[in-house]
Amino acid sequence: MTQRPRFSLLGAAVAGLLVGSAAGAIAAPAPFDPSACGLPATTPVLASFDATPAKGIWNRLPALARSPELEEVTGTAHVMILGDVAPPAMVGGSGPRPASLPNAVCVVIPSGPILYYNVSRQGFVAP
Amino acid sequence: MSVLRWLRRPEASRGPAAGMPAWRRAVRSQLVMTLIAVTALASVEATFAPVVAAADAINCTSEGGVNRWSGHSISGVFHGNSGTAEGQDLHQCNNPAFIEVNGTFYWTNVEHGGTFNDIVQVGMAKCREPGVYCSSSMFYARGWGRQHTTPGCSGLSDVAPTTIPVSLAWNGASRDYKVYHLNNRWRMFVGLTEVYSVPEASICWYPGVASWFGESWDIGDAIGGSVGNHLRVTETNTTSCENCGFVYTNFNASAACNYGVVSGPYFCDLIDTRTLDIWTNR
Repeated sequence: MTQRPRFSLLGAAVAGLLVGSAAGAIAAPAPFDPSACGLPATTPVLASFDATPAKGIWNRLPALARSPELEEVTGTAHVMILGDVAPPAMVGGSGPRPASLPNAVCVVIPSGPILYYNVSRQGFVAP
Repeated sequence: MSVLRWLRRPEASRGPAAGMPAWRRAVRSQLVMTLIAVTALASVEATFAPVVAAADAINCTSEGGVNRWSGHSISGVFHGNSGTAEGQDLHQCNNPAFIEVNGTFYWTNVEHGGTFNDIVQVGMAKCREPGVYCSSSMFYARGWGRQHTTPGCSGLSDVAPTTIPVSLAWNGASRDYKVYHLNNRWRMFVGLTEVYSVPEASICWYPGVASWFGESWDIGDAIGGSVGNHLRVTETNTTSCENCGFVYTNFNASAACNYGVVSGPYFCDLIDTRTLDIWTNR
């Protein structure tokens, strides 16, 4: 069971704005906003880049394992390299829920975001 | 004599000095002032009153996104699953904190079974999460995932099944939610509208479970409907091959639901061979 984190007054105000926006229409995420993948907007982004077409992601992140859903995308992938993240409130089957998502990468393609994890950064080419 | 009757006595309406002893005037004055203060406080409290708990939801807790499910599943080989859910406005927990992760969902699913990530699902949702991809107004949503340790998925990346809204606008009506492996893609439908799809190569796991379940992220959220208004899922049907016909399920109505929590406060009941009810006993 995860506990709700404690936040400073400023953090609470920022979060309140986020929650407030969430209560209305569902806005499209900004290109490099980790909240697109259900993570707090304050999640540190270690590196980010665009890949067009999306399969260009392997030019910079060659150790990313095969991902057929990216291979077919002709549009742009907005890629955010993240660290280890606490799992967002994922949906899913009733099997054991992962305690953490190590080496996460949030990729936003035209059809929506995809949250990858266990992504090796070996050979990463910084933009 | 009650205080109110005492205040309403004839001398009370004639003014404070109408033959009343000084001690009694003082006591009455104190009572009147107290009554005014209590009335004012009640008025202020009514103005800023917390959200009153809905019939089937209670206050949010500090859990922060703990998944619970209630529903039913069957095992086999499934390349499609369908079920028609009522268009209920599902109930979230009340009085959320500034940072809140909670939600209530209905999903039609094909899963590997026994794993969290290996799932393709489509349904209806309402949630709060510190991200832009949630709303406390009902919306249609989809999710999918995989993990490389599942047989058949070696060499593929891990995908976490996050809730993603689809562009179709919520209309509050009963809708058929269908996952279908059709023409080399896994497709998610709301009614006749295909709302999302992924290449079949992305779903590397064996599709061994068809399920229909409600989900929540906080114990204060309801799963399904309320004790007086169950969420009914009808016309459950599945297919065992790509691009071939669906057949209705054959639930044993005398059996218990088998998916997630099916005892208090969350319940599920198989009504007939193709119908189940999901609700929260509040």
